[in-house]
Amino acid sequence: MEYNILRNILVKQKKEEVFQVLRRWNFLNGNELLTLSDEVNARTRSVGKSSLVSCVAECCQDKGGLTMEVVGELDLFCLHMNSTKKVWNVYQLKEKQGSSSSKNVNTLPAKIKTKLMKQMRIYFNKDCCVSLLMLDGLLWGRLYLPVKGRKGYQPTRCLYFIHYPLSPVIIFNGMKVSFGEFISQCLVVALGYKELEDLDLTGHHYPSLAELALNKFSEGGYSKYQQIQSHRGPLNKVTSRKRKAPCFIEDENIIDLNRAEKKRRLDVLEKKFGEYVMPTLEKVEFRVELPYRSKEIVPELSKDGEVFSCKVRFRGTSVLEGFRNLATAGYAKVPLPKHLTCVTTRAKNKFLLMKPQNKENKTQNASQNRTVQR
Amino acid sequence: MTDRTVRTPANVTYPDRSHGSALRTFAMGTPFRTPDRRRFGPLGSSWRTPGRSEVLKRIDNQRIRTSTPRSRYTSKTAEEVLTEHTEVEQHNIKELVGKVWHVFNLTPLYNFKENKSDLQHYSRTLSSHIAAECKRGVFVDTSEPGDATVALFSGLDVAADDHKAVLIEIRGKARNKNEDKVISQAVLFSTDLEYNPLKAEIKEEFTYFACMLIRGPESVSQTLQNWIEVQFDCKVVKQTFTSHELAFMAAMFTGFSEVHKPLELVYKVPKEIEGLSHIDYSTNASDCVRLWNKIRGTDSEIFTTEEANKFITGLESHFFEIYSIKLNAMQLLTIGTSIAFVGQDGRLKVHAKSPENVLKVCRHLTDVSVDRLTVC
Repeated sequence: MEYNILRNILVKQKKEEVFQVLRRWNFLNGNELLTLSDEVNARTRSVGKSSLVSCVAECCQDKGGLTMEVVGELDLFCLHMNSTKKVWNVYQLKEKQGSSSSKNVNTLPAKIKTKLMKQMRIYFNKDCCVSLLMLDGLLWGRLYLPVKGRKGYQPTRCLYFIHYPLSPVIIFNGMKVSFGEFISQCLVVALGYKELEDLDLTGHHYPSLAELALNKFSEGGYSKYQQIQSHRGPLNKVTSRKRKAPCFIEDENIIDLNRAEKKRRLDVLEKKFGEYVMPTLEKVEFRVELPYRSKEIVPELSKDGEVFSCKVRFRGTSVLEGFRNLATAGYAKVPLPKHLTCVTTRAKNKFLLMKPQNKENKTQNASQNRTVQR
Repeated sequence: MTDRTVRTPANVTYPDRSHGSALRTFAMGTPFRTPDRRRFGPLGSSWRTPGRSEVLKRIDNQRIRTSTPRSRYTSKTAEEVLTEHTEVEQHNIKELVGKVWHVFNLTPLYNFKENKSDLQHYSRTLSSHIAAECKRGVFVDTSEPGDATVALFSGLDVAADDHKAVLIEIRGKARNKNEDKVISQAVLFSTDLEYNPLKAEIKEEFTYFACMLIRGPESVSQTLQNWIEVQFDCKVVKQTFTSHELAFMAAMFTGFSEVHKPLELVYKVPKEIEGLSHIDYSTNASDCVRLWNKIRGTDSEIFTTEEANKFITGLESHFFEIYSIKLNAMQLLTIGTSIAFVGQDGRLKVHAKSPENVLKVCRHLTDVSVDRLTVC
């Protein structure tokens, strides 16, 4: 069983990366890895990926001590290398239990793991498996919940999560409606909170997602961590993400008539968007329920009072950068409307634009995180 | 009909062109089209694409008649045609719905006969052609195609001048399964041709189909196109739609008032904007119909490009007021309406629920194809 799972996991990696992953996994120590690679090279000139993987799996099985948890850890290492292939959803942990002082908070993965296992036993059958790792300062977890009747490896029943220690942010992949509540209950208790809430923030690039979410919640113990991380110290590993300054070609033969206008546009954009590169989001969706607004074409429709409902979706490799480039190039009027610039502060992908109902409901709307347009 | 200049079938002369060319020619080289206007109303006279206005004004001045004499046209109005739809025809029209087709344009086919023995002969030649291609190893990834049938397809020929549509079916089986099913279909048709580009004397030898729809794997489609080109000495060209035509179709199809799907416009952001690639803008169908009715005003039978432009500009300016992004500077990539989904690369999927609307789509495709047919 573990043999098959191991094969399934390794086959999804690129051929060159297989040995990299094995080295990080550290299940086979140095000598064994050497002998393995020699054996593989000795076979034929060009080894196909599946035969390579079978060889590796056999070797691991022969060594002994190959449990589901260990295989899960290998899966986590693979995931760490290709995290952009998956779609991540950001959730927020709410209402911290226990005292607010940081002494009682446990961040050791082993402790969290035992707590989590205990909780999982209550809700799920015995085949479930938990693997937890601390990679790059973040807690990576993998929960495998196979359906009892079926045989073989069920990769769709794997739930991965990334937790930023000491912060209320947790990022999931593979969360299903069927077991969502149970999982959230287990995790929440294990990490010391009361509730889990969906933040409506999704994407492929989890560091950007985390950055967006964490900017919202920097208070208390986590703000110190953030300050140290973002402080521009010489020992800081974080690479500078300053934007490249746009260059004006100084050529006396070219006369730019609206240079002042262009400069003004760039200044406004810099004030709004900041001088750093924006976090990567692949999709921003809006559901617009506003009355018809055009002034030239059929303006009498706007007085109808009826709502013109539409859905708008912006897609691309980095949509927030795209907004900024649209404005720089002139396809959008500067200053950009608030709902495009506020994405970073709101930490959401999906927005609802609608007219305010009446004055009493305004506070309710604000708390439900809707952008209200007049 | 409504705003056409009066035609007299009796005394008419064609401009004297070289007798060598097979097709009817005009000074500008394109067929007659209603100038910049379309007609609503009964099916037989509705929904034409706008043509090139300067050509048409000149032709209008010369008082040249169309291919189909007025008298013949009016005798069989569309409503009569509709009520005559048989079960078979209804079924055939429904066949077009719900599948993804690629649209192609054809030049007239030479020596296409439609009696049964000839059709069977065509089926056999196509099957052998496919078998030869199989042996050559063309169909590696897809299922193995086997038999082909060429048959007539009734229901799509509305006007008197239309040739009965042709359906070509290619059956095959998937690699590991044993059942034989249809893997590719092609429909050649021309619905409600307003102008037949063939001269009278060569009509017996040539047949004109405005449009061909093919669905199925790419390799099978290529084989089919090659066979048609070789067998009937014609040319098959992929049909692409420009942004402008797509916008026009979006406006037109909204007017058919089916509201089960939203109107979706997908814009392509220019390449120089890094980071953003597409903007999808989908509006509720009933709101679109409301806007359309306001623009249309009275229930007149004329429909112009100006009205279509107004509709699209209305939607784009609503977007601009909310987002300050100028959509009119970007290209339309695909449109999706309750009637059909059309893409710039010639993909088509019909969603229409009523057969009349399906026929209207076919009519529009015919018009666009005939417009594209340039004559030297």
